[in-house]
Amino acid sequence: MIKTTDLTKVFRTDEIETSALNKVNVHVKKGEFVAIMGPSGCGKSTLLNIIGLLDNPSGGEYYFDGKQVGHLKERNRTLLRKGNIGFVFQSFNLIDELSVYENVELPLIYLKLKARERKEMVEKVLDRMKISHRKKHFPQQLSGGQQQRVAIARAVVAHPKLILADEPTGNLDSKNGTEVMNLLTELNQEGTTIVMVTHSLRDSEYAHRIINLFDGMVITQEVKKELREMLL
Amino acid sequence: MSTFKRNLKLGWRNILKNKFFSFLNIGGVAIGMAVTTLILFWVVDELNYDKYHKNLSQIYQVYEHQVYSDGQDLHTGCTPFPLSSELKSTYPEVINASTYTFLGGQPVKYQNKEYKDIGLMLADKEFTNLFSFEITEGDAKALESPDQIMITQKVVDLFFDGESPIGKVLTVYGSYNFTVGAVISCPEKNTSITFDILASIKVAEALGADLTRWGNNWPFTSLLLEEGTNTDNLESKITGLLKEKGQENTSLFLFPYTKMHLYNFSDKNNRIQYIYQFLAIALIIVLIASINFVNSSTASSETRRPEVGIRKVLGATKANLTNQFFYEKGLMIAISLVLGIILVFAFMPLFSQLADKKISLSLLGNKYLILMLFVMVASILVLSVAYPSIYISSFAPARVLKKAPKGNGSRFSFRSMLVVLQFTLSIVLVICTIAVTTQLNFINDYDLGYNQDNLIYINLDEATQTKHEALSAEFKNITGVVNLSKADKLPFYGGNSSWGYDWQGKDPENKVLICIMRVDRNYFETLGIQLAEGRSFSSIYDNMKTEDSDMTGEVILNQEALKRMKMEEPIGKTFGRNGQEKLPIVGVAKDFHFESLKNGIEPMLMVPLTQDPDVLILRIQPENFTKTLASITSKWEEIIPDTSCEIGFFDQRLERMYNSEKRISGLFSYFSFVAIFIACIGLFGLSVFAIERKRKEIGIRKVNGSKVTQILAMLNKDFIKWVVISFLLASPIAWYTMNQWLQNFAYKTTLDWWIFALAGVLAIVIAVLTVSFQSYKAAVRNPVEALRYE
Repeated sequence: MIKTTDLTKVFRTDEIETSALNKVNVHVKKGEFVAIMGPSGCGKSTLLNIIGLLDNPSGGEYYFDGKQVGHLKERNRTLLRKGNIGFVFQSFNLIDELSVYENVELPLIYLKLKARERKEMVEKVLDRMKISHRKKHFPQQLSGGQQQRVAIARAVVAHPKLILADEPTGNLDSKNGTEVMNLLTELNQEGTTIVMVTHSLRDSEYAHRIINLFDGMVITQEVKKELREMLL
Repeated sequence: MSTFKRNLKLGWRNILKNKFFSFLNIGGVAIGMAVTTLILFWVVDELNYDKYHKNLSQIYQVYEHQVYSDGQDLHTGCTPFPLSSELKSTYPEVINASTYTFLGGQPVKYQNKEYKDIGLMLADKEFTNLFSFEITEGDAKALESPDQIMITQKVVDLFFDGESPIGKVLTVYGSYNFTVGAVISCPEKNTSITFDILASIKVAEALGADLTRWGNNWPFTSLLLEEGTNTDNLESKITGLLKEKGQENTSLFLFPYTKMHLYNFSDKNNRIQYIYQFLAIALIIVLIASINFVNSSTASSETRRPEVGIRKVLGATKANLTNQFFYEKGLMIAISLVLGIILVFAFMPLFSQLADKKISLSLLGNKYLILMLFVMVASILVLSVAYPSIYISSFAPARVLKKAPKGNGSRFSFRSMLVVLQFTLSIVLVICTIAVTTQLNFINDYDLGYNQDNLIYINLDEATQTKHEALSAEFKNITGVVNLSKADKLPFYGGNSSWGYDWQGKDPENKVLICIMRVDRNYFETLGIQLAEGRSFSSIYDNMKTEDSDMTGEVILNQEALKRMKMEEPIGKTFGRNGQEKLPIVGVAKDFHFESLKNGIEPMLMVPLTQDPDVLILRIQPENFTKTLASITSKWEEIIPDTSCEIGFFDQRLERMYNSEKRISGLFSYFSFVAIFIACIGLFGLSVFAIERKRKEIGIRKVNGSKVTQILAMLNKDFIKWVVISFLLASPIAWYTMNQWLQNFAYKTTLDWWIFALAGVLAIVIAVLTVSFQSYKAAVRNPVEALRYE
């Protein structure tokens, strides 16, 4: 589903050139649950942005679903992203001016679905995330755990093939964190591919596989869950 | 929910979320739109003159250009009486022609009712056909007979109280009786021709005019031309006509009646310039309000960055987002529009009063107004909505999701550029306002060459002027009356000018147009006009009477006349008309101004008054002024019980002359104030953002020991820099504009440096006050508060 070859990303300012990714080769199969780990500034989020078609790489190739997408224009990236990729962020990134229902509905609007269809889909996912009773509330009126459930509902409402999660439990206490991880696991078991950036070893245990990044390079990536358990 | 409704709802939520900025934005645009609308009302009202004439585009007025020596020239609508019939019979393209003349406000009596200021127009029978004045009652041919008149509804209401006026007899100017033959309608506003009573042109014969003489320029001549006439062609055929008839220095030209209200024959001091000035102010206000909106929108959009990012992540295209912001900003403009309309209604009465115009909502049907209002709203939409929407929606998604957006240098300087533009325009307006006021003060304080204070006049008509001896004898005995003089007219009316004068040592080629006044020997002393040389008239002319209007006795000239005549040592030299009379020059009057200072001084000739006077001029002591006036009125009523006494004041008269300038400069200052106010709203809003950006810097500086004053100086420095740049840009623009405007005045103030300095200082003070309100708050804030956010 995701394949990168020699992916590089360089950020330039007037005086300094910073290499965020250096010849990164990553392969994620359909239905996999992969965690990306590494210290701050190692390029995790940059990699996630490129995989999520939010940014273009400076070099190398990126295949999404077998298609070369590394050099698409923003317009085409948007088209490809719509309905195919869902995002979950550490800071939830809900829109304050929209109610719970409207936040979740947003991706469906940009997919140009009919109002009735949208309603059905939103209601269903809100039910599943056990947040239906708060659908008329605004984000500030919710707890952190509830906000992240809304964010996940928004990420999955359009049934994307891929969910990208950037430290989804980073702002949550352990109880809410566990709940979120269970939700992601459930979704993965239903067939959704998940790529998650995390600092937390505990969270990474939910993944099938861990990719370790350091200074923009992949250090290890084929570490099986079972193998790690043995090492520990 | 439809996209439309959803976007509107979202827009409304965002407006409420940023109440303060929404208020500034909406308020600024609303005020801008309201003021611009009022200005457009004014402009359209000005453009609406004379539109009621059905054949307006085919009507032309004939005017003369008379050329004299030394560049002296005269553009005048006064033409010979036989001109209209000659043109109509000679040129087939002239379908109709009319001769008419306005005799000003006259006293009119009916039974025991009398009104002093009824506008009297003399016209031939074609007048009502050529122009579109409707006869509402009576005989349409009334003007064919010299003893019949047509009156307007205003006169009917004044005198006849519901009865039919037809057949009733009105007495005009004391002794002329006319029978009312018809009632005619004349618009009260938006017309270049006004009259209350229309009498036959033949009445001019009774006033001493020879209707067949070519040498006398008096009435106006208007022509109705065949549709599609080549007027240049016709003009070239008629231009030399008066030369053939003996007026060798005079050419004829055609003036389209459509230009009557906004242009002059001489093409100088055209009223159209006010239209341009006002449209310029309207444009400036729209621009300033739109810039506010743009600046405030893009500045506040920093806080919208995350939202834009999330939406893009969720699949929103740039078009989706532009669309969304377009609705939001459009909604704000729509609210401004509603508010603006309310403001227009609220301020309409005040504006009408300030502009001295009856501004009515019926103007809303005017297609120019609709077009201009549409252009205004459209340009505000494009300027204030399109740019911010596109700007906001262009944020890149990956960057947006990062924490604090970096201050984007180039955007910020674009915003500063807009602020500089706003302030440049505002400072131009401030300089212009100060300069206009200075010029009007200059005119007010200008030494007119006579003393207008405590100087009054009483007009006499044919019935009352016979009593002038009794009146003046009684008036002189009143204690408060210092001096009394008699004259054949008030000096404000240019009166009869002629170039047919001869003098000792005259160069036959030297043609000078000289205006004649007949006055008694107290005239100079009463008005306070100084004699540069010689003396006033001898007392032997005090009671002398001559039948005809020829010159008698002695001559006094003003300095301007001598200069043009190129005469030195004038006392004792002779002066006369057509080589006939040889009268000694006994005095030279210093130049004095009676006309608006827009005009220069004209050559003047004064001869002794040897007929009944038309006006009495009295100098009154300032003490017990009202009591003296009351005594004058009661003496008048003793001598002439059946006519009321109406007293006029020289200073008021002079003020009225500058009325138009005063009103317009008044409006100018109000509009400038509004423009500056809106610019300040914008600056205030921007200062909030600029200071918000520096929140952390302020905190760090304070932690490291910076004083409040130093923080204030740091924050205000940027804004002052913008104002200074604006000032440097504005000064030359304003200097050029005002220099052009001052060309309208023969006597003008200089554009001193202090005008510019004052405007610059004002702008800086206003800007600093506006910004300091915010920067002070920021500077005294507890530094921990600021740093905590990091």
